[in-house]
Amino acid sequence: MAKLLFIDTSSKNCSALIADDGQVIAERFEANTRSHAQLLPVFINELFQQTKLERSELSALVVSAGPGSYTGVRIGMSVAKGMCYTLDLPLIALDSLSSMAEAMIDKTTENDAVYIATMDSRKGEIYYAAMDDKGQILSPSQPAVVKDLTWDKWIGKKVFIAGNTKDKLQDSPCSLILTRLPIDYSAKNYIKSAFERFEKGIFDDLVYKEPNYLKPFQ
Amino acid sequence: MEAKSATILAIESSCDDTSAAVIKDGKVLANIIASQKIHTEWGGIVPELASRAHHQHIIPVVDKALQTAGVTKRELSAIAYTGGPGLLGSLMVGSSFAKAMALSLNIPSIAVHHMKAHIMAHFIDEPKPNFPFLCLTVSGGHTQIVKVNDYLDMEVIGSTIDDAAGEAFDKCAKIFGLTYPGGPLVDKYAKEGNSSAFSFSKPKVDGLSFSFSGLKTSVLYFVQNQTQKDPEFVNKHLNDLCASLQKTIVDILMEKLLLAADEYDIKDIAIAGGVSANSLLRSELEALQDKGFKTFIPAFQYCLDNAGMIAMTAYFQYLANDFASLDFEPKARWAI
Repeated sequence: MAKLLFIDTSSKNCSALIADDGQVIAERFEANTRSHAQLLPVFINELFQQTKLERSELSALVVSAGPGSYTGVRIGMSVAKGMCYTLDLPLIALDSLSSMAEAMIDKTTENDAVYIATMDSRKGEIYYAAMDDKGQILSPSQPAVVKDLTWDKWIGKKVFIAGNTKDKLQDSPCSLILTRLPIDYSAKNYIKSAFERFEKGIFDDLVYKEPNYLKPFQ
Repeated sequence: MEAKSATILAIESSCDDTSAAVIKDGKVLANIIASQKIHTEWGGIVPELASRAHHQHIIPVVDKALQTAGVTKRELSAIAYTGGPGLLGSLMVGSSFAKAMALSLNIPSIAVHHMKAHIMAHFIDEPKPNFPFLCLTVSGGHTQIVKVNDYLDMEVIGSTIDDAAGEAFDKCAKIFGLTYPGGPLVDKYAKEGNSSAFSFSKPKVDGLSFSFSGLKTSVLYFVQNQTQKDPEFVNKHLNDLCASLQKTIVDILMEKLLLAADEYDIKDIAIAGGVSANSLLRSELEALQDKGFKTFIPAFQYCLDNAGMIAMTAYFQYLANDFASLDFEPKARWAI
């Protein structure tokens, strides 16, 4: 029985949970949180108190590597690095939007569909990642300028979308009918792929793993 | 305060240096500092790049501090971190990492005030000042005269109304065409120069307040003016320019410090912060010993930003049971 701690602070939501072999056993979540730095350590402490688990009973730590808010992701990854270093835990850092797209696939039973996970970014831009219904990545997480977004290559497919970009995308020239799925940014999105990674024993470099900044600093 | 045994790991990440230190029962066993070279290319500290670099440096630096001290994670009694003031993004990395260590080990965490810690650096090595003493705290972000009544009881009695002294060094150095951070270079070139070659105007500010923005402007106009007449002016007179600038800044600082000593009738005087590494400031302060003052200057490694001073402060906070809750929010601005 592997117990994994999950952290997602890539959006404005502060989300932490402990899952045991894929099942959530305790969860803390706050939407539109004011401060990840304040809340996240408290949430993790509460998860231990509620589950009465010893720190040593964890098998790995899963964290969102972004894309998302630079500060939010960095707080999550700093907490993850601190815990992994102290408890000698392996680190699994996962892409926020690919994980969200996987969670979207699980919500539907369509064939030949495209799943686009999006997140608001700077002015006039969003981040997105796209997957097909088999979980194959069609577009890895990337920044995009809204007024250039057509997603033409997916004409003829059933296209699902999720994320906080509804208003912003009204400015895009995209003519696709986008079906919105009610999936929020949450640590839950990472459970499936994290346990797959854990089973395969694929872990990230604890010291040098960096957030997905997507763009070089300029 | 009752002395009790404590082994504390301290993390400092308020600006562009990532540092970790270990203190055991009041004695600093390790003080590791990783500097970020990248900011030189940009001519100043770039907050986003500083945050990124802290994120890369933090585990190697913490690990080296523990190894150097010969202390295991399980032996730690508390984890301390700089809670502010400083660059928010940088503070977030160190404080989040520190809180995560504390909650993993189920031990308390301690949030330390960066500017108080600069002053507490005086308690790392002998000789130590007696209470009450005055400390002139000068860095790239701060210029303050602090009356230190006890380890954790301090009051600011004078501060700058605009730029910090270190900022004045760096900005004027930039006018002279020196690379960032220019302060140490000014100190270096000044050694070969004549400090009375040029005269720059000193501010007229009442009481114990400082002002450095006027000096920066006067240096800028002077250099522009002279360069019009001779494009090679700065190159020809770099040593003298640096010596004259340094003398002016140090004069401004010492004048107010002596005024404070007189006003509060205090004979123990200390300097702290990055600019306390300046050789003229150090020698001018030492010269006060002939006038009946006892002066205190921290060892060079404890002048610049370092976790040793955070650890020293944390030790006294530990003795006073002054712990931070896990929801402590780092503060970009934080009054002493």
